[in-house]
Amino acid sequence: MNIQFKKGVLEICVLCALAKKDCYGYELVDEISKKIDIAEGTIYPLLHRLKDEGLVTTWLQESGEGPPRKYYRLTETGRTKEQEQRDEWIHFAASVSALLEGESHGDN
Amino acid sequence: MVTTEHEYLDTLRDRLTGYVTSEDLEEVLEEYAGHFAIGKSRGRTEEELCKALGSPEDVAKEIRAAYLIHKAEQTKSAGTIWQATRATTRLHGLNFVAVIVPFILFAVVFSLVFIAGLALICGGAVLLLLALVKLLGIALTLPWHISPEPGVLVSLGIFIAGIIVVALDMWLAHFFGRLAIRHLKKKLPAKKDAGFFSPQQAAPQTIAIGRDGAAALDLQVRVSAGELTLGGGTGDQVLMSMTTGNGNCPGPLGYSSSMDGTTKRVWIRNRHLSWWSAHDWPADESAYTWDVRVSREVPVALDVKNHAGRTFLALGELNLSSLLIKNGVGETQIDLAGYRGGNFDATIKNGVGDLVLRMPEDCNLRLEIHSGIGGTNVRGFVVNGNVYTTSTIRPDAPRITCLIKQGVGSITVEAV
Repeated sequence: MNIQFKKGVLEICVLCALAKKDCYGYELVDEISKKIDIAEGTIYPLLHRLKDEGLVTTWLQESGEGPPRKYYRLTETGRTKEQEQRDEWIHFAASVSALLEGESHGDN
Repeated sequence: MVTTEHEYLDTLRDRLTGYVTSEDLEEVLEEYAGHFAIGKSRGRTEEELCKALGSPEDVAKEIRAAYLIHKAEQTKSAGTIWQATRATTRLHGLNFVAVIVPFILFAVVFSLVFIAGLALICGGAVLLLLALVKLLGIALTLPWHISPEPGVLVSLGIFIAGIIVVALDMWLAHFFGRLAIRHLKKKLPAKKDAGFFSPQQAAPQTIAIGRDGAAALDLQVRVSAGELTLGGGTGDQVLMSMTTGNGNCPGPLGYSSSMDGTTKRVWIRNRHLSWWSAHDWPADESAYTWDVRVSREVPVALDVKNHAGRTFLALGELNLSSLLIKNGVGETQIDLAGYRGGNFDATIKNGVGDLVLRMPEDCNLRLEIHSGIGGTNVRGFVVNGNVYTTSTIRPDAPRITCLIKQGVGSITVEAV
């Protein structure tokens, strides 16, 4: 699959996953990479940027195994953004699908 | 190929040192070390984890871009904003000059106001001190005469005014700095989407305006970025035509034409005109081309503006009634060799970039040049201060009066 496609949707996937529940980095990476084949390492810089933009905050939790885990949580702004992007995406994806299906019917 | 956690983190450290602060670097390495730790505790090998993360070089690139913006936001010094601007423009293939000219302008203006404010503060303080000394009745022996004015209140006023100016200047600089950063940040996701929502290669687009019995043409062309060529020669009964070239058109092309008496007024503009929000500019502006052809049959009042990019105007075959050229950034060449048309006045304002003019030596020409930074090189004219005239004038030669105002860049004028 085209790498630009994946990059484009990565932000919305991350926001969407965080809208369901707070996640720590590994969990988030794991969840997304199960569905989309993406370089897992690129999710961390994205999380950093989202934090910079005030869309997510972090909190630490001690874990039984190893160092404390850094959890990411959506802020109010993040929640609004998630809704916006989700709506935009659904609309966009539907238009593209309609367009592509229209074309393939045309070919037939 | 990196296969161990140790190698992976080392490569990241290597690629990030000097680009992010040492605290940020530790934070990044901790995050990735944590990723390895959890991954391994779930039975994945280091090799698998390295492979899934993706090449550390690519990951480092992403981190660098994300942290540079972050750095600018935290400190907001001119230096870091500059750095972030450079990194972002490079990352997105923006026109660096177009981004940085306003940047320098702001920096200069704010610095000047700041210095003026400081001068007010210092001057006010000195005057206040002198006024207080005078008030206490202490006789001063100074090398210059001081009148009792200004009094304490006036000195205090100057002092406070200085503080206000400095504070306001700093607040405004801060405000614009934030604005610039917000703008840069918008670019980051914009570029990520670029491959995703990128516009398709647009087919060349042609606009042609018919003559419709017009006796004159009033043409206005506004282009955001690209290589603009304008010359004579259209099909029969066509007043003017414009073809956009290969590549994506930077923003939609709008045009209108109307008749005003016997004059046809046409304007063409490419709507993506904002300097600062030019996020879909190409790395190389010459990727866009605009080719305008104008009829030789009627007198033309020409008004051209190209915000960024090279401009070539071959006007020798046209019949001009007036000429107005305002270019932003880029080289401009105007060729009037062999001009046989009517009299006209020309104004050429060039922002940044070299200007080359080829003027007909047998015309009645008066050229006034106001140059900014950059040399002026004029050949084949009679010089009188900054006014240049042609030496030999044919009796029936058209009269051309030309005013040139140049910002930065050389001016070359040649009589041909």
